[in-house]
Amino acid sequence: MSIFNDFEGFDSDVFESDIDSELGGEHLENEEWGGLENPEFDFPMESTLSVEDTDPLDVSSEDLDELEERADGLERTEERGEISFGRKNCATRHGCTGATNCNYDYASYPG
Amino acid sequence: MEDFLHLNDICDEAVGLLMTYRCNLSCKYCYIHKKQNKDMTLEMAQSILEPFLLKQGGWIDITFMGGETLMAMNVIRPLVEWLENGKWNRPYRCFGSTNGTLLDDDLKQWLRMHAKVLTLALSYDGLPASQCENRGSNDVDIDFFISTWPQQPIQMTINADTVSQMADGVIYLLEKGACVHPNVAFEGYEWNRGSVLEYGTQLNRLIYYYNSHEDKPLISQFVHNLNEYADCIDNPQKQLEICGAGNGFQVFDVDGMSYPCHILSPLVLECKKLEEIRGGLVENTIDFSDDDCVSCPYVSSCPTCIACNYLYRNNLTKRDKTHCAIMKLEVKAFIKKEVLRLKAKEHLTSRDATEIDSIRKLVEYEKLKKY
Repeated sequence: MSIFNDFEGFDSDVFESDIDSELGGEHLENEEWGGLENPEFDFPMESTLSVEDTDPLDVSSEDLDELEERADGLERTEERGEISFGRKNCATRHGCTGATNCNYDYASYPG
Repeated sequence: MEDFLHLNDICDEAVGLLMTYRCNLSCKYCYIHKKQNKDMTLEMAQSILEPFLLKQGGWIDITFMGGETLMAMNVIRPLVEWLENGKWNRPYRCFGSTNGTLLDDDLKQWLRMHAKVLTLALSYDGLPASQCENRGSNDVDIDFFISTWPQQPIQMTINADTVSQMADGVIYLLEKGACVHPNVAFEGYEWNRGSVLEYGTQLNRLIYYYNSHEDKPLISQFVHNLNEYADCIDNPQKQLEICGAGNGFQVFDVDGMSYPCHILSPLVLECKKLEEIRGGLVENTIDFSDDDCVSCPYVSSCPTCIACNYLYRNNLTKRDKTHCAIMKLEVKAFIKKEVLRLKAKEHLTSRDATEIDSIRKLVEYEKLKKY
């Protein structure tokens, strides 16, 4: 089964250019991309596909449209969830936890 | 009042003790580039801690740092027993990170007896193969850590060499019953594009794993507030100092000198850089934001380390670009995870509808940035 079965019509450009720019515009050649093969999900990696065509994290416009349609008419909540800004300092104030992309739990080890 | 703090509770004050500079391993990503043989004495540790414990106040965190914590157990054991037997004016808890390779039966028994006072966090890099690749040793009793401190996540460090094993590593530890913190190492060089995209592939595998294992504790890569990010598109926020280094937290060297954190100390720094820290560089810095992040909506949750910024880029605020790219992949992965979750729901709620609006806003934002 392809992991893309549910995601026809990818918008594969989303976020891609940003990651390009962060990494100085370096592009992978197709042959460097063998690591994407994923036996567990029978990933259909064809040699002619470029990286930009196959970002597995893309969501389709159709999926988003469908969700918006289902959400149409529902009241929106004022509640915005737990806001991290100004509160997401290291929970323990250890200093070391800022060194990783941890979730600020107790004393995550700096990598 | 409870006898012991929950692991994630915020303490009032935190003190780190550089118990030893020594370590028995040479991990690939270690920021300590010059190993030294220095140790803190029991008397020095006691003289540092005593004033903190006699002061009136709330909980105090005492963290044993280094170096490998277990190489200092000849001092830590009597120190913990001294703490337990003392009459103090405030509650405390102790913590240390360890590679876990130096445990023996006697030490395990002692640690179990003192597990409510001292928590040890295991650093273990996922699959045994990754652990060997990064650290050169796999002689670790993982189950001991999981059974003794079940709430304490295992710290799983990821670097470019092992990123292709990230998902398998997380799943391996989750299946053992552990909580896991997979953390991308802050290093002196940036990942190449292939490694960053591989990170996305690994996140994608984990999305499908979590969708069929909803009981497993989420890794931090899947903890985001999309409403907050969407709000920040129109109202950019400024990066605050993200940790307590020099601001509520201080680390004491073996000679009793105080530093903002263990990286910004003689354990890691030398010469001019160390002098600048001693001169109050952290304390005198008011703005910890990076100019490159001024309009980024993810800045509130994006990891940075002022110490690694200073160590590798000579600037407390200048972030590395690898973590920037990785943060964006994590947000993207979380959006996909949420889309899958919401699609599978029979009935959407008001909260779901709000999140769908935020997802649309973030996707459009990223599209606009491209064109």
